[in-house]
Amino acid sequence: MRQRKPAFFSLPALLAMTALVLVALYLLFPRHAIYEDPRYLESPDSISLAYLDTLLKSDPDNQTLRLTLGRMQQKVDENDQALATLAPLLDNASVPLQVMATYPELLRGKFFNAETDAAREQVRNSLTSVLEQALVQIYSVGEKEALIASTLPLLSTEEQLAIRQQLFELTTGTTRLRIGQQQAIQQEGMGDLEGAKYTLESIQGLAPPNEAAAFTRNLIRLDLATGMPESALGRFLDAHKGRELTAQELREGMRLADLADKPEVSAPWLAMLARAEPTNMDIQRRLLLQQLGQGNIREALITAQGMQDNGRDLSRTDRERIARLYEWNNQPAEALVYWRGLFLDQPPGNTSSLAYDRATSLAASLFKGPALIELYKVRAARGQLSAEGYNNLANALISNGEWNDADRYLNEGMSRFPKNVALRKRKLALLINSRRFAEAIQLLETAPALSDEERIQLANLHWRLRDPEAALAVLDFTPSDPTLAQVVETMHLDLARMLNRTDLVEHHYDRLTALPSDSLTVETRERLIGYSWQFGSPEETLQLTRQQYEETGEVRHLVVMAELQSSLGLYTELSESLEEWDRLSPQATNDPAFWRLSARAHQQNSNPQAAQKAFQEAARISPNDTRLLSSWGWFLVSQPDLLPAQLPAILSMLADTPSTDTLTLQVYGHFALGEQEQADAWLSVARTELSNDPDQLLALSDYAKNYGAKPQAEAEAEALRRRAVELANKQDNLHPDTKARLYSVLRNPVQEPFEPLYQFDNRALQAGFKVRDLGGFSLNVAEVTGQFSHDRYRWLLSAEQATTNDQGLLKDRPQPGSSGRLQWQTNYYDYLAAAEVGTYTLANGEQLRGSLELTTQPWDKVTAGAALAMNERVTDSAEAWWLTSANRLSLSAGFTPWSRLEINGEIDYLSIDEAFGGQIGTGYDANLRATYSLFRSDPAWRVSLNYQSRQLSLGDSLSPQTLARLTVPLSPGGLLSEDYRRIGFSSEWSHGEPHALYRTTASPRYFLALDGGYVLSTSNFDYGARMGLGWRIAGDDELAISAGYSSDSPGGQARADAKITYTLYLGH
Amino acid sequence: MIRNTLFALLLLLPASLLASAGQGSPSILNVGFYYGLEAPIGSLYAYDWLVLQPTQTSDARLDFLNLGNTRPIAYLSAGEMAHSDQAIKTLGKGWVLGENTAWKSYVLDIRRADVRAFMLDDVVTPAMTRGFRGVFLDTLDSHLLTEEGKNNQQAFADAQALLIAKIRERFPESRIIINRGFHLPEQIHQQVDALAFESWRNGYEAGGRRYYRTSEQDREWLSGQLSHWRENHPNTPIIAIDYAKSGAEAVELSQQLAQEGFTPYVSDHDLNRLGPTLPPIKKRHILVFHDLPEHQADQSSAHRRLGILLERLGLVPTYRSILQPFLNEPLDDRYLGAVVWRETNANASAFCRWLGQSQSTGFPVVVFGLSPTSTPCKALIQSRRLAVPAGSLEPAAAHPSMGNFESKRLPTGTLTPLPQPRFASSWLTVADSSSNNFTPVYTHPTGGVAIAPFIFEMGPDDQAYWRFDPFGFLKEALKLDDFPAIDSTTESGRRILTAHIDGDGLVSRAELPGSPLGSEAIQERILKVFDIPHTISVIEAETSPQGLFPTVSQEAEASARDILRMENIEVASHSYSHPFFWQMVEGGAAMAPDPEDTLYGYSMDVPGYTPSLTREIDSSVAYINERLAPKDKPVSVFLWTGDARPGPEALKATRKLGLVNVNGGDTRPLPYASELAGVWPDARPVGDELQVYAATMNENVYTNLWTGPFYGFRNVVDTFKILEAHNRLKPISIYYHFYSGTKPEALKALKEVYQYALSQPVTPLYLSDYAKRVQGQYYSALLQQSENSYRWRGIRPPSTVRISQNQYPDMDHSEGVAGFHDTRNLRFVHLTGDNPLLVLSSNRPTGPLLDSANAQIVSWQRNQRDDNWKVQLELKGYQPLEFVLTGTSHCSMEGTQLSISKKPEGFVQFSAKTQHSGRFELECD
Repeated sequence: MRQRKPAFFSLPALLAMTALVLVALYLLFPRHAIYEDPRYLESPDSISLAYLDTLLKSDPDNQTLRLTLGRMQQKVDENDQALATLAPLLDNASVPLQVMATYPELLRGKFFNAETDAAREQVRNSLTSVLEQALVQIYSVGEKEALIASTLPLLSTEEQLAIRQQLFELTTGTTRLRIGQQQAIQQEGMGDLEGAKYTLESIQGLAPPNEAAAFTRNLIRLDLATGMPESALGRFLDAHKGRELTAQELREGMRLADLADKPEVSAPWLAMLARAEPTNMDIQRRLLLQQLGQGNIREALITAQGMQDNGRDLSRTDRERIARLYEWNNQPAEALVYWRGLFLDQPPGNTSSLAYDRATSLAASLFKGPALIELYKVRAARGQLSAEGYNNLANALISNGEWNDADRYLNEGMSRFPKNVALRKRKLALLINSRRFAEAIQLLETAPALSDEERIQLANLHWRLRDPEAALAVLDFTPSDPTLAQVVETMHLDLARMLNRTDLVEHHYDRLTALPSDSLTVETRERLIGYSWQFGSPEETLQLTRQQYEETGEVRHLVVMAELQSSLGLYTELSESLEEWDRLSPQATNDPAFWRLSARAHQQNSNPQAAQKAFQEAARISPNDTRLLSSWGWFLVSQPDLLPAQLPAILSMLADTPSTDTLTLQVYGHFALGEQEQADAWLSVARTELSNDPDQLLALSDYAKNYGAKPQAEAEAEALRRRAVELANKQDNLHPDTKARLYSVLRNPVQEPFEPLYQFDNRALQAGFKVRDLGGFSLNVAEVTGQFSHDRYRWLLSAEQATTNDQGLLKDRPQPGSSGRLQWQTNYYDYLAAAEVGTYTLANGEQLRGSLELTTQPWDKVTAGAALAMNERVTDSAEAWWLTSANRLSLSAGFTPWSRLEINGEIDYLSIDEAFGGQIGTGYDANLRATYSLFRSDPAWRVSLNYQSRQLSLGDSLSPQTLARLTVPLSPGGLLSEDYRRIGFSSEWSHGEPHALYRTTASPRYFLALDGGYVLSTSNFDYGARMGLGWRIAGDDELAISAGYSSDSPGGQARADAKITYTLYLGH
Repeated sequence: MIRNTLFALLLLLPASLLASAGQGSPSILNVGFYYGLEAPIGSLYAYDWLVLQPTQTSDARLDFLNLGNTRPIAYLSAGEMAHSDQAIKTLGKGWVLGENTAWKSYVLDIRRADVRAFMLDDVVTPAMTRGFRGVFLDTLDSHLLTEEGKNNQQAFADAQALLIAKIRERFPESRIIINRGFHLPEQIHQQVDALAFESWRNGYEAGGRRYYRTSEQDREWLSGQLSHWRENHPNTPIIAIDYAKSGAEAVELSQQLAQEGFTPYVSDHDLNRLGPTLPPIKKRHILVFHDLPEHQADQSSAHRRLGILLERLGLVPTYRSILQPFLNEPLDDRYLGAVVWRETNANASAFCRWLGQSQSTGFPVVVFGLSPTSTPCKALIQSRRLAVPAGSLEPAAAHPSMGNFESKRLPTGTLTPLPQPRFASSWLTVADSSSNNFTPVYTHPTGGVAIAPFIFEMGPDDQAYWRFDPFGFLKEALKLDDFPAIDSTTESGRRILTAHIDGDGLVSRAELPGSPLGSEAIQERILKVFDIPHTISVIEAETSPQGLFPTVSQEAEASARDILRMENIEVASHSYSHPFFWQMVEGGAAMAPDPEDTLYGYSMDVPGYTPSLTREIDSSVAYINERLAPKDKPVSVFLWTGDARPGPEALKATRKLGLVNVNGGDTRPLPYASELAGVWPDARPVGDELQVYAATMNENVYTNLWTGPFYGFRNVVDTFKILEAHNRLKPISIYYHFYSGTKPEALKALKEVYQYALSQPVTPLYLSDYAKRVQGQYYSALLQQSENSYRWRGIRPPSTVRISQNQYPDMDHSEGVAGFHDTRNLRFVHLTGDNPLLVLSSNRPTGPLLDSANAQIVSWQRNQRDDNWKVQLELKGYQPLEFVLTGTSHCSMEGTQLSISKKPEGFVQFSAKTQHSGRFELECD
């Protein structure tokens, strides 16, 4: 702002002023010094200025005047004039201090008054120049310092720094220190921290001791500012070397060490500080954290204990930290106090479970039952206890012996978490463990859903409360888990048995046995074995027992297996079981059962001597064993060779203790001994005693029918059968064989049961050679035959190669021919069906043959059969054998009025064809035979009366093709027997059947048959004989030979044949 | 039969006269000669002296007889040696003079000093060392079989006298009985304690195998020989040994001999039948047959289910398997009957035939279990007919208890053949759908029958509930009359309370603050709180420094010592390594179960150690005595470990150490589980040894083998209640392991159990006291002086007997009877002294009687003066005394601090504040 000028131009004023000026001039002018008076200089007037200006003009070298004027001009803000006034002074090498003081001042004012940057820059340059000039003057450092002090800020930082640097360079000592410090400040301000630090470091030695610490701090600050905390720390360490640090210093040192990342340096300071300030919780916390950071939990614990002892203002965090420290220092009890306190003090809004978790965990591990319970209870009261927590609370209460509370809290928990299964299970366990079974049942029954295990448990509980009906009802489900399913099934079995629910027992037995045997538990299988005797088959029992044996290795199961194998006729398996029994148990040979079963095995292997020895051994061990004696007795009955060795004694011993099990043996045994009366007497007893055993009744009926004393025998047999049938209708646990035997009777009680016509139980292979005289020539036949039975079916295959040793009336000897045959039979209770196909060589080539046959027993004692055969061989003569074949339709009947007498009749319709032509004859062949068994065994002796009639209607001549093969032109009657009627009588003694494909009796086997007759058609007597012998060679193999001769035949020639065979009975 | 009955009645008359005359007077000397080995020890106590064959006599038999004041005397053939004698090889040259072909023996030259030395050193001394306390010198006249003997009779007599003198000199306390020896010089007669001779009235001719009557001529000769003894040695008993074919004849003959002034003994020809005694023995032994292998007897139903019934009926069971060889000796002289329980299908025909022979003479046989199939077994049940019923069953007739006992239901069907006896007293008859009647439970004139499933209703897990009252059934079937039964459940009228701890878990840490040892927890929380007698055991391998836990050994041993030093603590061993299968230790590896079938192996796993009896028993006892037990309180009990099924050798080992043995069995009846059927017998006889079972099972069982719930033992209170409800089948036995101290809930449960037990009227005793009472049941004989007068002989006099409630003790004629106490259907009579005499009456006694006390009765005496009674009573107990008198309305007592309170119904109760024992004198109205 421009200053208003004084109002000098009014007239009066001018006048007055003039006067005054004059006076003043007068007064002043001569005394120049007035202008040097500071008071005057402060308020110079224009006149004075003018005056002085005038003076200066007049004396331009007057530096004083120039200076005065310049200053006065300055005072009146005539800065430019002042500058101009003073400028000449600057040109001097030596500029007075006043000038140098004023001139920058004026420039400063000018600087501020400059309206443009350029102007200001110009002023700044001037100012710089002036200051530089000033610094080179000979002023004192203080004067120079003063000179630049006010104007320096107007310069740029660089200019300032340059000025200062010049000044700094000029100084020493304290001044240098100060200036250096200022310069450093300037440098710092300019961001030249390094420069500032350099400056300061250069003057550090000048700092007085009382400022040394501050000086160092400043340097440290700069170190830090320049990112050199290590330097700062080093500076700090140097500064405090060898002396104890104050708390503040410790703090500073710690700070520096922290910044320098030198905890090892700061740590002891912190510890020192903590010791020095024990009540300073921050420091204590810091120390604590540091100790924790160092993993020094023991020291940390001491620190924590210090904090704890201080007892003030422990924050929640502090307490948590202390609690943890106690835990880490293996002082869980102390930790528990903190955690418990933390939990109990926890504000409602704090949902953290840390304290609760830790406290409960510690209380549990410290076995602080009451504390643990308190924690859970508080948690429960806060409504924060989880289902698991309730479970734990219950456990804790139980552990503490507070069972009622446990019950109560479990109820509370269950009401809060009604769907929680674990709680229910815990409650259930408590109830069951407290034997509060009724409540346990209620709990389970009111549960929304039960697992399979719980259902089983519920059933078990019902059963424990003696309510098996309820238990059974609960078990009406099938668990998916096979193990549980088995548990349910076995419980079912036990309960059903207890409740006499046989239907259920059988049902569940069937279900269990349908499972894979190896999936059953030992206990389950044990039960099933027991039930299998009632509901299963012996085969099933055997299978279960075998599995049980394989799993348990207990010999008792092996023994049962052997018994079953014996009764099922599995003799190979029986032998294996016995071997294993002997191997496993040293006591086996002391067990009569072992020998009894061994005897059975030997018996079946046709080794009666060994069987007998085994029975003797068993009897030696257990002379009074009725079961053994019974088995032995039956064995002896079947071994007439050994009669009457021990059998009478056995029967006698068994008679001393009559048992229903042995009555049948008594009957058959006495009969075998030829003691018919005694046998019949026992039969009478047996009929009474065995009134409840259908199986035995049937056996007795067989006896009564076949052997019983007449005439009561038939009635006896009938009564026994009736009784057996009645019983069978009541019992459903009969052996299958018994059921089978009763089958027909059950359909029609008045009918008698009868045996299957054939027993298919053989498998054999036979090789043989036979010679057969056909009159004109003989046949030499080599043959192989195999017969294989399976279940109720039997296959027979044979192949033979036949050659003739002559040609008879044939022109050519018949070519050697092969033939094959396949026969299939099936047997059921009362019929036998057989089908056969074969091929053989006839004069015209290979011939196919076949037959069908059915035999049945329509009534007791009566059999009937029918057969149709195509292309059979004709053996009336040797030539017919080669040139003809026959078709046959047969009807047969048999009648057995009593067991020893059989009457059989058969009538065949025959149709005989030529090999090369058509039919050459038809007719009938009838046979009637009555056979009486004088002895049934050893040897059996049978006598027969036989009548045969054959009537054929033959054609007139043979075909030319046939005749062409004959050396003489035979008529059909030359080949075939047209009329043949014979009545004959034969007597046969036999022991078994040599050549048979099934084993008949023990080796040797033999027969001898004598035959005599009268041929009505030729009025000739004839006779014949046949004999055969077979004996065991190796194992059970049989070598058999037989031969026969007959003085007559339908062809009129004598006939002879011989045969030798070797038979392998497979499986023996 | 009638003849026998009349004869027995006739016998009872003089016997009762003798008894009444003998009450309070010295009893008659009973001398027995028993050369067999099958008789139960208990049946032998009736004899004061008992001559036994050393080779037929087990050490156990000797020990127990000696304990029972029956002096075992060794048979010694002084003039002969049997060919079969093992010592025959040691015979010196020239010792044999000839041969006694009748008895297959050599006649020895007793004149030789070396023969006499052999007799003394190799025959007599070993026998005495074994426990015999006398010799019976037989065959003193065998030298007469030789020419040398005939010609030098005096020399032989002198030599025999020398032998007797030597025996007397070496064994001055022994008893010497000579057989005949009439030829011995007079000077030796003084050394002889009794003279025996044979065949005064009846003899036996070995060659002809026949009994004969002695001719008058022979008797006169004998009489002449005896006259010297009668005149010159009137105080020397003269024992007449006669032979009779039957027991009935023996009784008659014995009476006759006694009347003729002899000490009689009448037996069969091979001296296997026990001869009659005076007073006669009341038979209590019963044969119990099962059909499992012999070593599984304890697993049999016969043992598990029937044992306790028989014991509580006052009987002493002898268990045998029907698979064992049959007994050879008489049955009816020692057994009152037999019970057979068949549970397998073992072939029993021969057995039934054998037992049937005895049954046919009236010997009762009761059959339980499976239906018989063989004819002899059908004969045994007196039912030739058995049949399977058709359809469902309906009861047709039933005993009141049938279906009204533990089980309330009867089977409605069965597939088992059921008897259809002709002559039977039916306990249950059922009719099938065809109206056929069957009788599965019945008694008959010679026994009874109960066929499964009509015996038990089966629950899950093999729980069983009796369908009928088995006590009544057995009593009826066995024709048992009422007689006082030795009791082991009650002392002074109150239920016995015992507590014992198996050592397991002593070193385990308790889940308690500070984790103390299990033993320390038990000590602090139980033993110091419940100050009753305890039996405490230790497992050596747990506590020993050389054991499995050497680091805690010092602490454990200190704890054990501290506990064993406590008052009211009895010391026991629980073995060295805690074997789990004792029969395996004894019987070798063959008895070992599959390791997979064991929970913890065969024993504690001590490295390199295979369990042996010596190490387990002898050494463990020595360890405890040396390191743990106070010097004045050595081990007195052995507590079995593991399966607690010791064999005879293990039992022998404990007996040899003078210990009683306890543990085993599986008594734990519970609600909803087996109750009566869940009660095991008191003991398990094993040959001549006896294992005493724990009265109830331990917490291990109640906690599912310590798998939880760990508080399960509190359910034992139910067990206690059930046992009491079934007429006090067992005492209260608190039995657990140290590991019960490791769980808070287990400790809490224990406290509950103790509190319950002590809230009941009980008499606390040591476990060994209980065990000795059980031993007393088995090792004792009941002598029936008259119809209502009884004494006991055996290893200890009974302190309590049970009688029926229609009988009372006759206080005027009884001796050592302090009173009685009624509980439920039982009447417990308190006995005191060494030889109490109990006379029963149908009249209630008058005057003050002891009703009950919580301590053992040391002495009791009462006298009536004018209208007042003076009662002297001494009691010894373990709790502040409390006793109750009855039969008086007022009593006063001098110089005592007992408080007296009058109870309703004429009871006066005396209570002490602190006094546990004391002698009291009372004046009562």
